[in-house]
Amino acid sequence: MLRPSSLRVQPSLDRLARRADRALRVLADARLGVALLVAAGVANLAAAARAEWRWALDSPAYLALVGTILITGVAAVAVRIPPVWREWRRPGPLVHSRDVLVGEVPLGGELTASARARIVAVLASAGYRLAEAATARGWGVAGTRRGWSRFAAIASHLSLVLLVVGGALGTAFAEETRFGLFPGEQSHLAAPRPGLTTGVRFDGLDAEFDSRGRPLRFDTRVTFIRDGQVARSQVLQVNAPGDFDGYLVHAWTYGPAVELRVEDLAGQALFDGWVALGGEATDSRAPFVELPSLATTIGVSLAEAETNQARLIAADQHGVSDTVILGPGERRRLGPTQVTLRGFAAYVSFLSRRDPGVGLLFAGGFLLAGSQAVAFYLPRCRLDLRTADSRLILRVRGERFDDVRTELRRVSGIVARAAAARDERA
Amino acid sequence: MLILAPALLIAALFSLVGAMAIGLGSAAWTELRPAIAGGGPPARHSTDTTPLGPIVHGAIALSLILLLAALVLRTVLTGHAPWSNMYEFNQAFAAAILAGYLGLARRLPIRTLAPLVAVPAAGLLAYSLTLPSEVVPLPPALQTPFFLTVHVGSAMLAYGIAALAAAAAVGELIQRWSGDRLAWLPLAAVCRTAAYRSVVLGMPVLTIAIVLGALWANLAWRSYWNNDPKELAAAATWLVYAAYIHLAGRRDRWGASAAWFLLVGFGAVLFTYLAANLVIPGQHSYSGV
Repeated sequence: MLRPSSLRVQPSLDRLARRADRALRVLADARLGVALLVAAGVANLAAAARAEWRWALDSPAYLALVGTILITGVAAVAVRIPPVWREWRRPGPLVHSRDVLVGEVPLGGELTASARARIVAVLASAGYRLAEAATARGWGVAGTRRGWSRFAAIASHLSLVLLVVGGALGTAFAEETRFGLFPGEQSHLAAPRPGLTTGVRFDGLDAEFDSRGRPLRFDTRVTFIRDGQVARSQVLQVNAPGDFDGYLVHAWTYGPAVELRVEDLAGQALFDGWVALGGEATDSRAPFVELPSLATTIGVSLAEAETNQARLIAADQHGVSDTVILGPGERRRLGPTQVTLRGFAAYVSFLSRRDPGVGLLFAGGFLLAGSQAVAFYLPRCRLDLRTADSRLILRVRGERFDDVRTELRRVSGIVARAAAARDERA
Repeated sequence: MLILAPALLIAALFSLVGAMAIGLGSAAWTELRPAIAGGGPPARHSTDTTPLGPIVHGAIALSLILLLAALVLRTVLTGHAPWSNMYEFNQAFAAAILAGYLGLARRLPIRTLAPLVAVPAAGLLAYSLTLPSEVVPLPPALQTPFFLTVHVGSAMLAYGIAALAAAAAVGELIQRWSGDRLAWLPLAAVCRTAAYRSVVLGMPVLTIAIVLGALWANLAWRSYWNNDPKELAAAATWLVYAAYIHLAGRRDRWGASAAWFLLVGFGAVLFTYLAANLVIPGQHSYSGV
């Protein structure tokens, strides 16, 4: 058994608790929340307007701002949970204010215990969670309808925690790998490491354009591989990346490529494979072939798209030594080499990404939207019913700006009917 | 059908312009008649309509019906939700404003706000008629019926509701400035209630639009957040409305400033919609106008 002396709190601890409580209430103040939200809004708007200001969103100051918003949200929850829980456990009487609507239900006589029980029953069936209270001044009942709506408001604040934690996890641990593949080639889904046995093979690209050259379809056929075995084949589209072993695999960019065979003049093969076309090195697939044994580089570019012709340029340390234009299937001499253009195809650069925070982040997002919908679309309504002389005084209060006149009429009606049932029996 | 859709749009625009002209004319007459007749200031109406209010309200309803018919036709023509480019989105945006107003007017006495609501809707429709209306195939990134319908559709709804809230905020500010003396507008308190109800209706819709947009971006653009101008502007818009919700219930100086937040919020909506599409290049710009 606790003795009074054991309940005594050290004054310093008491002071600390009071200060902590005060700090919590300051942090939970809606005005502080508003100021922080506005500051974050201004930062985002400025970053949207000027690309050169976007660095601000990656700065420690902005991170601190987001962190403070999070702390104020959690503080708001901490301050509100106790009264919300108390109200949920035992709805309390309504204090009169300008938001409270008042109605009266006349009684034929004294309210008997059975009539009270009937009123409580009909109010409960009307969705109210009730607590009866008998005082010296009479009988009363307080109730809350959709009291759980306030928990939704709390959940919407807590969902911000999920959003921030999900985002932080992604920032810290997400991995992203880019690689370019020609048809038939394969690659690991991430930088090689012990135990990583998942990969993807590029099987082909089917693209379709309209008469004005606007893209209609990019279908990238791939095969996912695990432990050296084919796991499954899939067609990747812009909105439908592959989902394999926790990696989202996107077909990221596309480009033309040629299949080329290069031999020296004695017929010895020096290169046999794909070369990306284009003026820039894209995703490590450079548009040239290095031939160190001949001290020569062969560059490839598209010469004529209409007739599918490629321009091949040989260069050595003195500069360009030779140029040829080849169509599919053609073989020509180029500097110290013989080149054969076997055909055209496309290369695809892939992007595989694994973000361990994304699930938490979207859970937070959907929780935020759902809890807002519950809190705003299904607001709580409070009721207070007291006997006074030969009538029942009914008080009803909704959430901010809610019109509870209809609810007052509804509740008045069902209470009056319950009371009248007593009168008829009497 | 190709001729019918623009005809419906033009009819809807005429109906809206008529609603604006009659509404503002009626408001001016309500305000000036006592002065012309030599009496005192106009008495407050006991109802929420000006003398020609029912005609204005009817014209708004007619505009919505015409717009919805045009949107249904567009859906049949294109085979997808009618908000894949600015020509279509403007019409859907205008329809959302009108539908929001008509829905709220069933619950609150705000019919005299009709001319203020008609202004942005008419502006959007007029702008829509200047944009190319040809039906073109969707680019691959937009070929996802679920996201196109729900993400863009919920953004459109949220924008429409934001416009309605801004109209109510303008009404509240004018009435506060006049001391609630203008008979052609709802009382400031009614405007304030209408604005708040609009925002709480639109806030979850805006949130789901952003969340679904992030989900779509995660699939199509590799990451749920790419610091794209439209993403940033949408986040800013959400933050402004979140700030408004925290302010709106207060009865102090902070609460009194809430109406201004709605104007800033609608400014952010227009920035998100127009500037991030037309002026600032970003990933959302690929569908052009």
